[in-house]
Amino acid sequence: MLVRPRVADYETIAYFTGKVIIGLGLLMQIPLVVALIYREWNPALDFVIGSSVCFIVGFLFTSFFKPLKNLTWMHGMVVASFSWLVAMVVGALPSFLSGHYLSYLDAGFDLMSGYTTTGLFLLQDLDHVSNGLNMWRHLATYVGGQGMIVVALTFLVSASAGAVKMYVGEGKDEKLLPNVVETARAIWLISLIYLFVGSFAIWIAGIYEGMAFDRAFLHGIWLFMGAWSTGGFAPQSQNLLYYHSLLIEIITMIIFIIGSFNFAVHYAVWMGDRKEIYRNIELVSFFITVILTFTIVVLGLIKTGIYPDALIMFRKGFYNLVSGHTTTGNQTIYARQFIKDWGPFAMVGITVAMAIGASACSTGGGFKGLRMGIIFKGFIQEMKKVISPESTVVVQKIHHIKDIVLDDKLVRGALFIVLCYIFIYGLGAVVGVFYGYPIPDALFDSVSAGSNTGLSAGVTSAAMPVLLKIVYIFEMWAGRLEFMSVFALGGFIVAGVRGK
Amino acid sequence: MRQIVFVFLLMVIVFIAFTAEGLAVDVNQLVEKSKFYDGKEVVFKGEVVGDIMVRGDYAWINVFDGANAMGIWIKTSEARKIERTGDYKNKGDIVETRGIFNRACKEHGGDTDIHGESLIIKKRGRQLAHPVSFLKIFTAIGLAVLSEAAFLFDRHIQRKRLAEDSFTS
Amino acid sequence: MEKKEIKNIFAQKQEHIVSEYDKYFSNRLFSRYIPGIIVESLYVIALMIFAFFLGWLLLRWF
Repeated sequence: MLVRPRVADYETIAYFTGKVIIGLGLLMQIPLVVALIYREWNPALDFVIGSSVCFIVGFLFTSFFKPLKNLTWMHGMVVASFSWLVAMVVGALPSFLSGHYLSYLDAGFDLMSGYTTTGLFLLQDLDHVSNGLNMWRHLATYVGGQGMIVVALTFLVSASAGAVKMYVGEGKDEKLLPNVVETARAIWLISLIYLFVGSFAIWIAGIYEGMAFDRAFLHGIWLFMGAWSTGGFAPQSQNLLYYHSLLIEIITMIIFIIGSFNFAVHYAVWMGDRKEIYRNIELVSFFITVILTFTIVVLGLIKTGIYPDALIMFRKGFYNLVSGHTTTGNQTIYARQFIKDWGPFAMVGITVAMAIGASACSTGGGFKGLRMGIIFKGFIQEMKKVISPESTVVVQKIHHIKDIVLDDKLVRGALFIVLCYIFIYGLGAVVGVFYGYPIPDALFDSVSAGSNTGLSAGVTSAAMPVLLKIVYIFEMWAGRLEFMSVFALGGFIVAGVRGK
Repeated sequence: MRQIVFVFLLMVIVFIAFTAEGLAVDVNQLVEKSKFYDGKEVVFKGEVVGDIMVRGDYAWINVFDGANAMGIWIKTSEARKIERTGDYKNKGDIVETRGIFNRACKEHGGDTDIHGESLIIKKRGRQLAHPVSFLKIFTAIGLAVLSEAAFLFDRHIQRKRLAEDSFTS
Repeated sequence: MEKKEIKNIFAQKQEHIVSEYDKYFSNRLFSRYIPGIIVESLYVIALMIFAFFLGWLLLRWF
């Protein structure tokens, strides 16, 4: 039986959504400062307007609505999914005011793409974008990588019993520390330390490669934010091709591969458990799937004969493959080259890599290495059961921080989520084909959106149909939140309409 | 007979197009027909954007054709002709370059680029004015004041709630 | 149990958690963070070298 939500339920959800929106308003101060430093008055005003709207909406929500003392799972989940949608709508305001978008929907698309660390964009004339707006795009992707709720937990929401329920609703289910607020802080600490190290490295590389001192600095921060959060945004329209630099490619590659690791793995390694780096099931799974998909890509590229030597194969083939596999989306080739030069077989490799995706509880998307590992081990277990005598009990273990005994529940859970991903990939592809795009292109961009990757074969552009944009936004959102909180929101709405 | 003449004429036109002019192209054409243009001389025109990245005797510039940008590898001495590059505050110099298009350049790690031989400045760039409208200023001030009011109101409410809570418990 | 006692126990627990966080995560730049970053980077570099030679090998075979 569906229970119609009470007024208090709505109020609780609105209250915490308000908190997240206030956090968003605070974040907009950073691009505002950048715009002021560079004397970009128009963007500065855009951010004043944007953050003011955030504060007005947020404070009105928190003052008019009173939260319940104890959050249920339903509240936490719905807060997570709902606040991401509201954050998309209000966060798009300064972007839209910049005049670089053809419609508000396009601006919303870019914001959702940023938050979910996807990296597809519909922005026009990226090469003439202000530093303030570039900061906002990259900041959105950096913050979205750690999670909106994680931000709210770090600064705004006091440690209550309900915090963990919102945290899990955002698709992160690892607790690095017993307390969820401390977990959020630990996630931030890891990200911030890498921010310093990574931005510094790219800054130096940028100067070495001939960029101006201050531009290299900003590009360093932006490229880091885009790569670390496996987002794939870059400040120039050519993405990584703009730099024509092996050095910058290698540094960003290191950053986005490390960025695709599970935060629990970072934590374990930093705590001194160095063996975790080669024992962890996700990293083992990642290694194997990277090598397998790379083999497919190389074979495909050998067939077309476009990249004749090993270094080129590495810089083009491996870079774009790993960028896809970690669901980053930084590109060193033009979008249409996937279709024109890579050929269908190499595209299959990269599409599969995107679908598999990064690690669980990381900044990335896709099926996740953990689920691939669980499903594979579950498969092995079934095989063993079949060939061993009936009375034997087959015990299969996986190693993720500690040894975990595999049971049916675990495998079923993993399979269910993977099925959901396949469903949204398919949904986007079908809609794409309906609008007349060829099947490989439509599938490629749909998988890219659903797995929060951001590589594009040319389907994604401001000229694409409105419905397709909405479907992609849905894919990015549902894929990033890993479905559960999306179902919760759906259930909540249905209960509101039909419940008793 | 007419067909032969036609084919012959076509060949002549193509020949002239290749030898005398070079092919005027944009990025889209180059990428869509990369196999055809690979290794051929092309003429590419557009606005210089971003940085001029000097790497010794040669430098990288990125030229934006209105829809996409392409990297051009050119002598540093030629690149020095450029005075202004495009960004938020500037419209860069419009340049025309003649050079060899590479689908996957062997020298530069497979980049899709043009190795420019010459660079002509077609039009000097200029500063871009971004006038601020009064409507925007007033909206921003108005909303900022409103947000401050919302903040104060919220603080008031939260304090009241806190007082109520401690009273009841 | 008195209400006050319960509160005390709760406070102690909180303290315990905070201290655990502090123990691991504050001022550990050289002993914790840098070795962590190096180990993770080494994994990635190993992966890149492996991939480079895999690419090279496949190119030679086919």
